[in-house]
Amino acid sequence: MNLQEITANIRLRSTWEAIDMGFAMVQNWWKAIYIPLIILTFSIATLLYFIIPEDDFWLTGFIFWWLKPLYDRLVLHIISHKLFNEELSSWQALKAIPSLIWNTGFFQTMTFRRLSMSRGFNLPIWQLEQLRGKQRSERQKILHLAAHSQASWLTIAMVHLEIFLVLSLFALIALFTPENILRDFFDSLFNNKIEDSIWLDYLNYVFYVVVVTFLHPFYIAGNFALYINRRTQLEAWDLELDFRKLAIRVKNLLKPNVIPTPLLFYIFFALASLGGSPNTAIADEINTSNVQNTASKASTTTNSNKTEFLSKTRQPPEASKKIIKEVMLTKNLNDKKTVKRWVKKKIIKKKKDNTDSSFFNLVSDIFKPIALFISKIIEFGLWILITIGIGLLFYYRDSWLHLFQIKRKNKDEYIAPEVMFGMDVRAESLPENIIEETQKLWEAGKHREALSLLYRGALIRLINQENVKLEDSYTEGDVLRHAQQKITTGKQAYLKALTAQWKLIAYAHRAPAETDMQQLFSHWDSDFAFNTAKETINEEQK
Amino acid sequence: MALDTLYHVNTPEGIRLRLSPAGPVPRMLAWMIDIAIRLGINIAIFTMLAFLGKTGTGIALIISFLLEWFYPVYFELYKNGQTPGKKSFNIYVSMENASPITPAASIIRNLLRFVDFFPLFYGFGFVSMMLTKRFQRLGDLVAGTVVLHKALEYPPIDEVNIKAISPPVALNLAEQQALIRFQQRIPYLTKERSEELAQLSDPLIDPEKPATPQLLGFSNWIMGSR
Repeated sequence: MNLQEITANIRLRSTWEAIDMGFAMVQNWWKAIYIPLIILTFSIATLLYFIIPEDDFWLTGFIFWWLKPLYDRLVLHIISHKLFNEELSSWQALKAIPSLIWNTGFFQTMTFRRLSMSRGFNLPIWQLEQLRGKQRSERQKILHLAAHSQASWLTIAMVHLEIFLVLSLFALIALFTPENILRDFFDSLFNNKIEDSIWLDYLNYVFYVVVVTFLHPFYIAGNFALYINRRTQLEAWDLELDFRKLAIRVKNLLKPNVIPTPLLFYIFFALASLGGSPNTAIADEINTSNVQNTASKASTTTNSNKTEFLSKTRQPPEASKKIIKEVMLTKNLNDKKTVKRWVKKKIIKKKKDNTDSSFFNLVSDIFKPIALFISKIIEFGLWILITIGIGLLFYYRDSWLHLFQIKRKNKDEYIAPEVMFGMDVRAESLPENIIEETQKLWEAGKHREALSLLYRGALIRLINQENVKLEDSYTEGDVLRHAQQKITTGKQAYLKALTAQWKLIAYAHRAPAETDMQQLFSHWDSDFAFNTAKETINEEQK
Repeated sequence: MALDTLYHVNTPEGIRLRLSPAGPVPRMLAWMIDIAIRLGINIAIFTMLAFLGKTGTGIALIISFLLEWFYPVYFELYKNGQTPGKKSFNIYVSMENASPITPAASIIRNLLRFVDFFPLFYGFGFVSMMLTKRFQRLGDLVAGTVVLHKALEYPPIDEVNIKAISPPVALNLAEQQALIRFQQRIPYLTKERSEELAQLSDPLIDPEKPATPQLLGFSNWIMGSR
């Protein structure tokens, strides 16, 4: 077994994916598999047909089924050769059958191991690894650990597929059978009155042989792929392949051996010191330049380090320009499209011939004015009805007009918060003259209460006068930020100073300086608590 | 090109998606689970509604009709393309280009079960799966859908106490990935085997020292630790 010769992509798959991989093998190598298999199964089937007497015809199908391990071996022989890229002619495959019977534990499988659920999965251990006795059972135990249940389910699924496909073939024939014949057949079938039913057995036998021949490679290949996947899992075949490839490439890269010492030195260096130090970076540079040197020399022997491939024969610019122009003129790039859409039709009125019989003309001449008269009455009646209708709609407008009003959802509507930072921020909660109250508190030594009252006043002003949409979830910083978009810079400055003082006492428990406070008191009315001209007008309008 | 079940889809962002179609065996087993679930629900509904007499049977028949035809549609559209059966086999339905299945495609592929079921028990469906590269049954072919395996998830790697070493040569993508996979697979390999594997990357390593720790150092470097 030479792993490098493997023709399938080896990677770690889930078990079910591995089974599908086996199916893909059959799809790809169907010719190599089916030709010898058909020769084998059909000749055995024919032989059985001639040997077994007609009275025991059921035996043919049974023996054909019992001989399945034989087909197993042939299919596995072919697939395993194909997997490791060895061509095998049909004749060679068939010639191998006797040795396959002798060397693969065939007789055990034909007797007490015949009904094993993982027959197909175990086969590679017998046939390819050629293990026996204790060694084999230990090996099998390890391989079974993570694949036995899937292998059993595969067997179950395949048994069902076999039955379904045979039934399908019967059903296919039934579909094409005339109905009355079919009905008669079923009648006699259920009344146990079928005469000459041997043709049914023959048909069944033929179908069974065809279906088994068709399905068997899938079963074995699915199991084989499961086995390969399990070994990949245990032995990391994928890594082996990758590392071998890597070794070849790196070897080629280093082959010219012009400056091998620094490189070795580098390896030693990289192993000894550990990444990150500036020295390593320098070494890295040296190293890469070495690699580039060697690589450029190596490129005569290998292309493996090239990342971009350019065509060797390149057109001169004029020629390629010409080609581009030609391409641009092709039909695909200059296609005209027909677009269909609705267009108003020009109606050409055809004048009716008035060459009808004179009698009809006469009648119509008499009735025309009468008809016109009646139609006018009806028309007026309709107009009156419409007028009344509109009048009624207008009269009862209150009862329906509200249906068309679009109500804004509550969600979008702004509701001013009542409590912020645990403080009541309703306008009613404020004393008449804030500054006076605050100053009183301040002088009484209640610094905290004083500042909280002042800050509260500012918030209430922001909400009610300045229309800043504050939410109760805001922090002081949020308040400042949102206020900035609405108020003048003078007011911003005041608010900022006030916020700073408030934060100082609220969170740091430090009383602000006397001068700062006096500043705040004296500038409250002049800098903050006034309405700009425009706002004043707005206020008055309200 | 090595034989595999995979096919690739390139996204407009230049990402190459690797997709792995699921074959008949896991799909058949998944279908069996689904049919068992449906059977259970049907039995429950028919027994419960039997108390309502003929009306009950009528309602039960309608429900069982809806269940039969729209059970897969519901799961494919709202549960990431996975019916309970498919989920247990880690496979899912998606469009051929790996985008989520569209309602139209889901309805088409499930209505056409009728065709795949012919002549009996998915005979045509199975043959169609065997004849197409992506294991698609007729309904899949018409709807442009495919059943895919979910990507195999490697278990997360424990912190390896080996210091990162920068590889002496610039490694290409495949080689870097191989080194990372080596680190991921270490817990599942025997010591001897991992050493044997590591020795294979001969020119990369210092032959005087044990090879496994060196390779782990490289892969740590590739994974970004310094």
